[in-house]
Amino acid sequence: MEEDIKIIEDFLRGDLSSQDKQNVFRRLEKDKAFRAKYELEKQLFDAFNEDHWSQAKPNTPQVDTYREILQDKDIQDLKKTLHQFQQSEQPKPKKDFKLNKTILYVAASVILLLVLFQVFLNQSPSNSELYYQHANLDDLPSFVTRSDNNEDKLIRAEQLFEEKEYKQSISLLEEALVDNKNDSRIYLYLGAALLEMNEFEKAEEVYDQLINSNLLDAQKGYWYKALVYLKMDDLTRANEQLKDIVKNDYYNKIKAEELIEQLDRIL
Amino acid sequence: MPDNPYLEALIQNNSKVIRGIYDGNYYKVLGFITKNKGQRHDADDIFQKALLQLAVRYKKEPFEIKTSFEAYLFTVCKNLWRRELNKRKKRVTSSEIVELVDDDTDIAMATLEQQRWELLNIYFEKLSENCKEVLKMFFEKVSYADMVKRLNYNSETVARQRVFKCKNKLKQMVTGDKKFKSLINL
Repeated sequence: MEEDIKIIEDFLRGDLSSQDKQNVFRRLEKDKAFRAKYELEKQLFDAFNEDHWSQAKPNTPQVDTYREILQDKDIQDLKKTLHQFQQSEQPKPKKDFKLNKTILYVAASVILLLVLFQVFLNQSPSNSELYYQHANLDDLPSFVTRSDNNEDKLIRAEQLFEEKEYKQSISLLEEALVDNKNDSRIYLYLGAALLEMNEFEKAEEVYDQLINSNLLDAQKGYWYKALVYLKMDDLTRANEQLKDIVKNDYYNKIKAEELIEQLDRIL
Repeated sequence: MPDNPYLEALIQNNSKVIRGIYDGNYYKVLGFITKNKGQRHDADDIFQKALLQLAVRYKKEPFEIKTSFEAYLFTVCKNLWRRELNKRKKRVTSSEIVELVDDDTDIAMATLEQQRWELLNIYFEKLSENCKEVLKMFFEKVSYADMVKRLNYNSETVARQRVFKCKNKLKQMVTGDKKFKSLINL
């Protein structure tokens, strides 16, 4: 018995000669007890080796049970919500224009944290940990799928943004916005770039334009405006803006609530 | 067992809470996937499938999440991505036939696979630290010679015996679980 396990182990670890492997295949076909031992060993292997994963068979009563539940009305409704949510939350790139929204979140998080650093009198170690956690996000999104020789203005603007060439990025984004007022990502990038340059009024204007647009992302403008006020050190206005977000259940309500709590301690 | 507010919210299609789940977790998953051979649309797909998986599972039979919801959701996403990479690898190498199935079937399969993984993992975590270390090396196909060096064993035979003992302990616990039979041969 122990010998069988040893053979199975060597087989799964790839340590058997081709002759021995053939023997294992033969035994798996004919020997039921051997197959049962193999199944368990293989399941363990597939669970604990990161490169493996064991798939279930598609046509079993157990699979059918879950498949039926997936057809229930409430789950179908959930599917629709998730789908809509994803469309508004993660806009799919159009053709070559792949402005990546994640960088805005990174920028926003970093701005937010830096501002909080400035205003908090006590800089506790946990704040610093928090900062590093967020700062790590910097290398999260993969931008490598972008094509290099693309002349599209917006791609260039994104590159410039990433290279922290905000001035040049802003001028491209402003031009782009004249041509196309229906892409929320332009507003979001432009606002973030302006904020990096401490052009607070202009950033605020851009977010106001976004808010007044009919775009799906329009209400994100409120959140980013709150960040503008934070960066300006205008904590009273930031606080008001955040309360407005919570009251009206706008985008990032939960984060706004957290932030209000933090601001309450220093106001 | 107390109701889990997040899982309840999924069943009730509570868009406010779902938005909170996205806000709090999506970017971590995106980060993980884009660092591991994936792209944004993969992350979208995995995140959505993970939430559906949790919803159907909870609907069939409410279950308790022992860690935080965030940590649990991340584990489910990680496993779904590992599963997807494995499928892709098999498709490329044609080492096994990968059946093409519709999305619902795929989610149903993954739901069961996740439960099997959890069953095995629960008992793995109960092993001694030394056993865990030895078995990790074993499953990652570290050679016995290397195990001897890294764990200061006297010989490869000792290493093999240690693997055998620890694995037996694990199998004993796993096979003793009442869910074992229904989950091991999916």
